[in-house]
Amino acid sequence: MREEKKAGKRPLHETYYYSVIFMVVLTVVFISILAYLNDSTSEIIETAGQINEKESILYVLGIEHGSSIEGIQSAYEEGVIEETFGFVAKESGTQAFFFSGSGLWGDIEGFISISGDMKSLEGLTFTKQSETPGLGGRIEEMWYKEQFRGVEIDTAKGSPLVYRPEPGGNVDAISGATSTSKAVLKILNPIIREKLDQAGGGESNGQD
Amino acid sequence: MAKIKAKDVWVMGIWKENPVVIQVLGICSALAVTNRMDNALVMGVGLIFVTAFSELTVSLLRKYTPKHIRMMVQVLIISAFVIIVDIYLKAYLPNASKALGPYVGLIITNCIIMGRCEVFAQKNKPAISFLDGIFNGIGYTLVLLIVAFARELLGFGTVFGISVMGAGWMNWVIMIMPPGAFFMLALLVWLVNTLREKRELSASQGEVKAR
Repeated sequence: MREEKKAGKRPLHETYYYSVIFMVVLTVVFISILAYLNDSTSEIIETAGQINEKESILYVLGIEHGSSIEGIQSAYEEGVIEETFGFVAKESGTQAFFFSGSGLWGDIEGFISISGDMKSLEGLTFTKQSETPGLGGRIEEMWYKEQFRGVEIDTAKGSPLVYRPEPGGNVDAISGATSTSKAVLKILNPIIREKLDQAGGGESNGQD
Repeated sequence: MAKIKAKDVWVMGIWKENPVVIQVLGICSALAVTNRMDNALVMGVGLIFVTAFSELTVSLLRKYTPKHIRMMVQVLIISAFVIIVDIYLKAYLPNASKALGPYVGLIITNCIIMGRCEVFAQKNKPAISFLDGIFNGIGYTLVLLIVAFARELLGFGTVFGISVMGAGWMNWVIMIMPPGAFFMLALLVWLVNTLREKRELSASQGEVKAR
C-alpha cells in the first residue's frame, strides 16, 4: 500500500479497480456483520411480537393481567380461547377480532372486541400503525381507545360508530387528525357490521 | 495542522461548537423526539453510539479509502451502525423502539454524523476521532434533554414520566405538539448564542486590557 508514487502512474488508491474492490469488500464485511446480528436477534424480536399481540388481545377482552412476560402468558392461557374467527374470553364470552385496513399513510392493524350478546363494543387496540406521530399517531393513546369500551351497538344503524357531534355520534375524533380518525371508522364499521350480520343470522328467527 | 488534544475535543463538542445550538445540525430529530425525556435520552444514546463508532471506523480506514469515494464509504459505515442500533432497540427495548418509530432509521440522515466523519475523522487518528464522536453526541443529547425537559414538564407535567407538577397542573398542549419544539429550540439557541457572544466580548476586552 505504501508504493504509491510509481513513475507517472496513478497511485494505487486512485485506480478504479482499487475503488471498486475496496467498496465491495467493505460492503461484504458490513453486510455479514448485520446479517449475523439480525439472525441472532430475530427469535427475540419474534417472541416480543407474540407477547405484544397477546397483551393486545387481553386488553381488548378486558382481562386483567400482570405486566411481566410470565403474567401475560399465564393470563392468556387461562382466560382466552382461540377460535377460527378470533379470540373469546372464557369468563365473559366477549369476542375479539383482528382487523386491518388502510390509514392515512399505511396499514392500520389491531383488535376489536364485541360482547358475547353482540350488544356493545368491549375494547379496541392497535398493533400496527404508521400515522403521523403526535397527530394521527394519537389513536394509540388511552383516551382514544378507551372511549370505544362499552359503546352500545344499534343494530338498526348502517354504521355502528359515528363521531360526535354528528347525530347519533358515540365517539370523539382526534382534532387535527381528521383523515386518520375517519380511516379508523371506515375500517371498523364494516367489520362490526359483518360480525353482527353473522351473529344475527341465527337470532332472527326469534325476532320475527 | 495543529494537533488536537482530548481536552479541546470535549469543549468543542459540548460547548464551543455544539452541533445543535451553534452549528444548527441535526435539528430534524431534535424537534421530533423531544416531547418526552426518555425518548430524547434513547435517541441521544443511539446517536452517541453511531457517531463514535462511525468516526472510529472512518478514521481507521482513512488511509486506505480512495478520496473520491470516501462519502460513499462514510454513508455505508453510518448506515451499518444505525441498523445495529435499530436491531438492538427492537430486540431489547421494544417500547422505546415503538415510541421512536421511524426516527431511529433516520439517524442515518443526521448531519452531525456525516459532518464529523468528513471534517474530523477523515483527518485525525482513531482514538481522538472516537472521543470526538462521543462528545459531539453528548452535546447533541444535552440539547435534546434540555428541550425535552421543558416540553415534557410544561406539556405533561412530568419529568421522565414521573408526575412533578401536581394534580392542579394544566397541561400546555402546544408544548407536546410540533410547534412547541420550534419555540423551545429557538429560545435555547437564542439564549446560548447571547451568552456566548457576551462571554467572547468580555474575553476579547480582557485580552485588549492585558496587552
